[in-house]
Amino acid sequence: MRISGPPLPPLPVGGLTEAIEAIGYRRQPWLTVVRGREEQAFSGAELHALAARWQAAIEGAGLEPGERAVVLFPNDERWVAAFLGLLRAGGVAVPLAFPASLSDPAEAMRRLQPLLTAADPRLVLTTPELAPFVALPSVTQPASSPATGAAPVRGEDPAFIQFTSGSLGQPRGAVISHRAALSCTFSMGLAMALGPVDRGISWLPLYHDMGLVGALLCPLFFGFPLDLMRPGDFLLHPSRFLSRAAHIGATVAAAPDFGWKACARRARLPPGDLSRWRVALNGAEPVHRSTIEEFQAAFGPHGFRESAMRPSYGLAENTLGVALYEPRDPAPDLQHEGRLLPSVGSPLPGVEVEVDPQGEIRVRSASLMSGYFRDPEASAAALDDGWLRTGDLGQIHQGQLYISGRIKDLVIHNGVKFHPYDIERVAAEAAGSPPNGAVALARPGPEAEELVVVVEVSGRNSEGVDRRVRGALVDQLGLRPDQVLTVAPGALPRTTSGKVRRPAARALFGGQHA
Amino acid sequence: MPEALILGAGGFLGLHALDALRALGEEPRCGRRARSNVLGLRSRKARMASADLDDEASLVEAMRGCDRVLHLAGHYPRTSLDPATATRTGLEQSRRVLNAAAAAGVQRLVYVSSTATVAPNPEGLSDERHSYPSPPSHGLYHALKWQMERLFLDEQRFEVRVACPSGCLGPGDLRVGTSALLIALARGMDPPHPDGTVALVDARDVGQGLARLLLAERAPKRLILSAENHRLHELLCSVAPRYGVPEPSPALSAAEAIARADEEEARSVRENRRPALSREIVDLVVHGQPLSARLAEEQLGLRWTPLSQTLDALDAWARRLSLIPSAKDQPPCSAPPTRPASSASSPT
Repeated sequence: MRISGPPLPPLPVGGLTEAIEAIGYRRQPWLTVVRGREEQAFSGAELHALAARWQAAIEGAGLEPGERAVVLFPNDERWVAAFLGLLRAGGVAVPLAFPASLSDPAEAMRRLQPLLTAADPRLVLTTPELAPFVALPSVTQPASSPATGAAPVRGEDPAFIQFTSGSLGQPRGAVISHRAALSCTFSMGLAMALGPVDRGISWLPLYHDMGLVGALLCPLFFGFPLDLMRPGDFLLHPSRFLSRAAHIGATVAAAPDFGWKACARRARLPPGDLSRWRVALNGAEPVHRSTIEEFQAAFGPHGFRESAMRPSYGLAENTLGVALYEPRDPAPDLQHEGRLLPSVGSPLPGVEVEVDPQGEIRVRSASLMSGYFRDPEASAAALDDGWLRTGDLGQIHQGQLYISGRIKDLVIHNGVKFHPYDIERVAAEAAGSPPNGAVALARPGPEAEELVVVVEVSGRNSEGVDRRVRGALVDQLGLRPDQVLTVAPGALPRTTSGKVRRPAARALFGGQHA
Repeated sequence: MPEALILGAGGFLGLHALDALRALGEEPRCGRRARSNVLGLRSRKARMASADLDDEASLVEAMRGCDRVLHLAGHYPRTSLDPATATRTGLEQSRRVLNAAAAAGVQRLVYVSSTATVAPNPEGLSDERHSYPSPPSHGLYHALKWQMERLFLDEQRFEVRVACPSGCLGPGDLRVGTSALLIALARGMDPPHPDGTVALVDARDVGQGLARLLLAERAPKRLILSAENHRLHELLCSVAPRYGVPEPSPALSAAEAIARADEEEARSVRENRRPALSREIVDLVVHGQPLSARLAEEQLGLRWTPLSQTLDALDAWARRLSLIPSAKDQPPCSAPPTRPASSASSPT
């Protein structure tokens, strides 16, 4: 079955660099960097000038158009300006995760080495603190004077390489062209009716597809201002994110489901008036009805409109967005193997979606990656005659897309298929762990696959956790795990975006027996 | 934060400039005369300020606190029948705007002129370097636009930039200026027209260009905003199938078109209506020349919407307002009808 979004109108600009030039005419604040309780606003013109100085530094370091440079900064104006400057220089950006802690920069860079090796960049744009530990030429400061003019680019030229989060396997670099990036941004913006009167706020890491495209390129392209927070600040203080959103009259923000859940469960202070908020994009991981309900229950009284929460589906291989829930076209949740799947809406403009007989979602659009960087085999496996095989399972019902899991993640227990997300959600809740603090793994047993559930538990929650987790799984899913393992908070291997890295977790815990 | 003021914000180009400025984060004041049509401004919830080009004090007041002014309200004579009054009005109003801007402490003013002031280039495309040394003698419109532009270019008290947009097409042309011939063609009216080069541009691109010219730290003193060069008759023939109407009758000769326009203007004054064929349009077409707007592309990063997309937008808007028949009322484009020989007016 196949569903299609409305046609994508012709792109109003030819490349990202044109959108960057346009923002240079803005003398009002465009980017406000929020660090804890401090903030610093940059007008479009100031940021453009900063980007032009980064461009000069990057060109001065010898980068030629078409060459790659890693962008490795915290979530602030340096990230944005260096990225924009790199694009102006005609370079290809490789955003990588900035270490959460700089206490051991050598170790932090060692962890990034596999990605650096895979990306094979000419330069690394990073902070003075990390540069000494980078075994490549680096640029840490913008030049004193700006470069004049942007290098010409064609639509098919690569703009950035987005390393996929790698929750299911080895990280791969999705090569995103200027045209794909623009198509995706334009398509998402049309679906959300973005415009200059909007006001964005984001705590998402910019090196992640949702942060880069949803939080940075949309404001860049549609010319609305953005308040940018650091992920760590959000995770520590979700209240501050909500208070800031209310304070500035934010109209649009995006986050994975766990972010919205964290807001609903951990934000302690009344945020203020949230009535201007009209799009809260919920995607990048399975969307839970409970999150939507909890968020609404918590913030509906503060003016948050139910219609603002928009489940969505996207992946880095399509630059980002594929489908978005449209509240004017309501769709009921779909019963699927004993659980409720919220609709992630219909395809975005210019996007076609089909579900093949095996249940795998396939996507065709102008936003598709050109391929995986230097990986023709994986590219050929993923791109089939213009269609992207997503590896995600889904259903199409009454023109709406529903995501039911990942092909390789199915846990088959006693002949019944389970999606690990459901098991993990229940286990984490029962153990009092954060939503991403559990992993469900299938391991070969003597007769059949066995189910291992690993939960992160802090000392104060550890008493009786085995019993609580087993009880909840039986009660809610009718599932008896073969083993429940408890580990200390932070012990589960994770991707840079915080998702549990399943293959690594399987290697760590899959073979253990209690 | 200093503000911007738009004079002529409620007009065709003014509204597009307002939209473009808003897209760049500005919330400009919009000057309005007491009796001007402000429907477009109201629907955009624009901030309005009284500003009358015949009242210098009102201009000073409107400009107070503004560091930048975009002036699209230059005098536009409805006919060419009274050159002396039109010239006097145009120049006096221009001086008032300049004096008011100086008095209010404005730092930069962008004046919207016309490509009528761009002189021919015997070697090819004309650009910003090509100017007439003295007022061109093609008619009132060319001469007046040249004199007004000269006043603004000579201003020394603050920075002035001059934009020269070519024939603007696009949604929102309520007075159906440059679009008049296309609308008439689409309505099956076989509009009489001269032939010559017409330079055209999407009004939305002009809005963007004006906004950027107003806000850019560095920009040329004089800038052409123009996308495509066409021969008018060929263009009308090529778009006829889009509306399911026959190709237009052959073009009038220049002399016949001028005579027809003069006659039509005189009649329009007697009957208190707009002329169906104005002398200004005839002069612009007859003396039209191919233009290059490369400077605007290079200096302001402007890109031009292809004419087909501009026409799509114009059609959609004009159909919504029933200025042209809706698509379903028109025959399919695959077999455009031909005009009966009896209805064709042959050129002399």
